[in-house]
Amino acid sequence: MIDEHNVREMLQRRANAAPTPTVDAPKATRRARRRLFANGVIAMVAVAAIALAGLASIDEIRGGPVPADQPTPSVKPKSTRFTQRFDSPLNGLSIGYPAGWKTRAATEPWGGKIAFDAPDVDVIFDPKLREHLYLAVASMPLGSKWDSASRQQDRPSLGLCDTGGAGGTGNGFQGNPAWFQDCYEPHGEGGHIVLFSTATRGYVIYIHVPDKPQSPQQARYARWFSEILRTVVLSPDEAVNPPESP
Amino acid sequence: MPGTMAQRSTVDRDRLADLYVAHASEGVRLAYLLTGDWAVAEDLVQEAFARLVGRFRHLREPAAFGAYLRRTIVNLATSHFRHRRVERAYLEREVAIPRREGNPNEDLDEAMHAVLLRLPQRQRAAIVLRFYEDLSDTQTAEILQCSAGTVRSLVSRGMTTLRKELEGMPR
Repeated sequence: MIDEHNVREMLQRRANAAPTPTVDAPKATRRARRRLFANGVIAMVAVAAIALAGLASIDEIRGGPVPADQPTPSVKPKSTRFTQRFDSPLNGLSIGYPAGWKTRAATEPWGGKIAFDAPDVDVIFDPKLREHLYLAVASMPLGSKWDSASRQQDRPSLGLCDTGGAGGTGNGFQGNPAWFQDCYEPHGEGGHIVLFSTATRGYVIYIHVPDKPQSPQQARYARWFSEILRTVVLSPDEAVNPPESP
Repeated sequence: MPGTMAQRSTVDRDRLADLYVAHASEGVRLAYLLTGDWAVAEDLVQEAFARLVGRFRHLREPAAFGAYLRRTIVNLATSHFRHRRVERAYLEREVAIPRREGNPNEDLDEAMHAVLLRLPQRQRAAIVLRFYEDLSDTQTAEILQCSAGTVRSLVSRGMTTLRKELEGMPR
């Protein structure tokens, strides 16, 4: 019967009876050093890849708006590319917006107020944040309620953005006189607005955001809004004016 | 300063070579008993050495180097068969129990080694570490990363298989 002693002897004999192992120290050392070098290179490449990915993520975060913690935290818009376009026949304007957002076109001439649910305002909104993150577009012929967007006192009372905030005329909007302003809204929210007037028509483009202007995200939203404004194509002559009063 | 670095590099290289010379032969024998193949055994030992060099600064004691090398060889032998997933088929094809003729001792050794190589890897490693390396249950358990009780169980089961497979062979 096989016992431990037999196994010990067998193992010893097998190990000793074998040809003398090749002990090529330089070769083994070279192999070890090559491996060390390869490990170092792989580690450096991995670190570089992680760093690049990190920088890309930071850049993406900086490029897009981040929803506020309050009152309705939600998914931030994933894309800062305004791949979709909304054409507003009523306002004679076309504007880009992020994929995934929904649009609701105005069904009647603008009466002068901006609100998420207003039927006379074109609204483009994040379906998750809805009234907490949306774009509003409205316009009216000059002469009735609105003479010049470059003068704040001439603009209509919009029902929002009335409590003030940093504003100015900037360099105008596409060659038209304009007024840009950050807005404080109720519930700790905010917005950015531009009012401008062409020769015949006054326009409002407003973005409502779930952060007040002095929040850390404010600059990001402002930059985002600027990018949206760059997508605007105006055709005021094609806008639909309300019927003349008899 | 470059001279100092070159000097240190030479010292490290010499030391690596010394360590390899001191431990390689024993390592190859252990790897051979675990794999049954000298070429594979030498390759495993070189690989184990290459891996350990990465941790060389933590292995200043030669005794510790030997222990680490042994452990790495056992692990690499396990991986070697696991990755190829042909252990059983390979051993059954290549390491058949020899015919019972010629030197009975040699025949028995070959037969016993062949059965040993067909044991599950952990049973085989436990038997080799206990009876060839002459490690205690605790030392073996440390290498196999299990308890001493498990080592005793592995050895016992391996021995049972050896006895059963080699029953009736002349000694």
